[in-house]
Amino acid sequence: MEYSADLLTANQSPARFHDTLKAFVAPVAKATDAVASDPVALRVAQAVCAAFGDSGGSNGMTRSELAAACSNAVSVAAFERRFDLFVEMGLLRRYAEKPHQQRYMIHPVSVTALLVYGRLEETNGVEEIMLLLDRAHRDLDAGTMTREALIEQITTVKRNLSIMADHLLYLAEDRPWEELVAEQSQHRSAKALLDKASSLVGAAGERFPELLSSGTGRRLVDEALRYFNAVNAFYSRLLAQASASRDFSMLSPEQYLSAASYRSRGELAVPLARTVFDPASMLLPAERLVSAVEKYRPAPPRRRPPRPPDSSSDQDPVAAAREREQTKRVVMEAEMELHLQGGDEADLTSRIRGAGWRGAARIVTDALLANADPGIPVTVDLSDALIVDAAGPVSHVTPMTLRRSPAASVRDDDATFAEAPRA
Amino acid sequence: MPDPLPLARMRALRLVAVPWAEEELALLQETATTAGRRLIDVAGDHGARALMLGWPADVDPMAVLGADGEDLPGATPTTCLVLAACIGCCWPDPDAPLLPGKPVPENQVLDALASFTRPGRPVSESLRTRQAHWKSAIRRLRACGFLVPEEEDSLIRLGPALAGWGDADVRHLRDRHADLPRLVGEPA
Repeated sequence: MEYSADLLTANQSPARFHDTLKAFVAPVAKATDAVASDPVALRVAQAVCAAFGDSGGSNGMTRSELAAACSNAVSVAAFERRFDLFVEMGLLRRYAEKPHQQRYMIHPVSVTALLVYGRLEETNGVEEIMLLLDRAHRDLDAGTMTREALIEQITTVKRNLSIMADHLLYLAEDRPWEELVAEQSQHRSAKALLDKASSLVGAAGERFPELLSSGTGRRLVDEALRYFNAVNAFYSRLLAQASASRDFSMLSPEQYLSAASYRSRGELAVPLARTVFDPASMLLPAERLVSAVEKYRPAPPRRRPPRPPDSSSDQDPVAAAREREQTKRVVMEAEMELHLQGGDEADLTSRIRGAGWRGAARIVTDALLANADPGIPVTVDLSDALIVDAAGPVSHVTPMTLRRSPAASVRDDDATFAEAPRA
Repeated sequence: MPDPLPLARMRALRLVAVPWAEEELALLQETATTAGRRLIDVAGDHGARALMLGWPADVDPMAVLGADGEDLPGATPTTCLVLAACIGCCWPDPDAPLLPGKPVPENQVLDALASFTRPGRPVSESLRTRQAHWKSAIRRLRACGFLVPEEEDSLIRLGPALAGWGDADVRHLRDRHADLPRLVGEPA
């Protein structure tokens, strides 16, 4: 829709702004064509104003300097068309009233007028009422406002609000929707205006209580409330139409942001309750899953490998055991030979009795082990007698005789692994 | 004559009941074929069956939708891992069909994921934080139909979008079934 482009910007269309300017100038106009219909006219004045503002000099500017400075904003032809009119009407003044003077200055009133036109373009005069309220409040606080001046201010604001409210109600009730759309950016401060009016009336009541009793303050608040309600009626019709046509450009981006921040999910869902959506979907092939699993799977627990066999020695453990057993047998046989002293028989009783308990035990044990080992050619005889010597190193001894026996041939296996009985 | 409205309804609802009348079913199939789509018979819990709109076997959805194979919107590693864990837990027998699978408690899926950590995640990221991400992924998978929307029992159930996978996809998963995240002690 064509109006949509204007909705998110505060600017009015050129034709509509021309109507606004005509209505603005009408009180002092001499003819109906007092306001130029070409929107470029205003742009030339704004360019001239900008040129003076940017020049930085205090000696004014020549016509050619001005034309050059405005060339970025407007065409040379447009500038030339407007220049003489600006001089004639006093927007541009000669720097000195001399015929040869070619330097010009801009009139400060024209600068103010451009600011007013700019505000008209954006706010259609509602901001002026706000300023009037602010100024009255400020003067009241400063104590410079007389009762009469205050009444005059309040009356002026009340009348203006009444006109604004009537205008809005006229639009809301009788005019095509497109006109409402064009006007809708002008009345977004209704709540603020109502608050300012109430605040001014409250402050006025404190300073001049009779204003409240006379109803002057109440009438201002009533009119502000009427304007507020008119704005609501105006927007209700706008939004009803926008809702029916699902036009999301009806509200400003700030209003959507505010709604997103402060409204509940249910409230936000209402406008889309009858809208059909595709369900949420996602393209997710199976191979993507497997890739993710492979990439992010936990590392397998680390296990210490078994210690490798000691390869530094190539000795056969069985052979080593046989060797140790053989060494042991040789030692034991040598001990038995020591007891026999080369003879065939030896009585070990006296040696046992003199060796103390520890030595006695070793002699008896070795002799019995040698007796049990078929590889050692000795036998042991134990007597049935018991020698008791309470004062000796060994108090109780059984007489023991060691004898040499004929050598026996012993197989290696028997010699190595024969289990030696304990004594 | 093909009627586009049932097709639009199926697209918006994702699943529709199988029509009782054979003529109606045939018309629906004809409409889908005309639109370059196919009907997929989706098995639900307790033997329930429904129809879903899918792509013909010889059509690559990613090519049709202009998706880049490397950058699939929403298919984040976390989402992929969570769906792999859901399948690993809900599909204990790879010889059985993928759907409808076995409903499992959400905790079982979360526990199966406990040992999976994305590289680059800070060491300080607690299990609770990771679980929050996984639960978020579960909600996303439910919204996209890969899991059934949450029911009163809060169990995880495999969703109809998995029925859109072709035979090659399912075979690929079956081959790698032992690698899917699942609880230790659960059958692989």
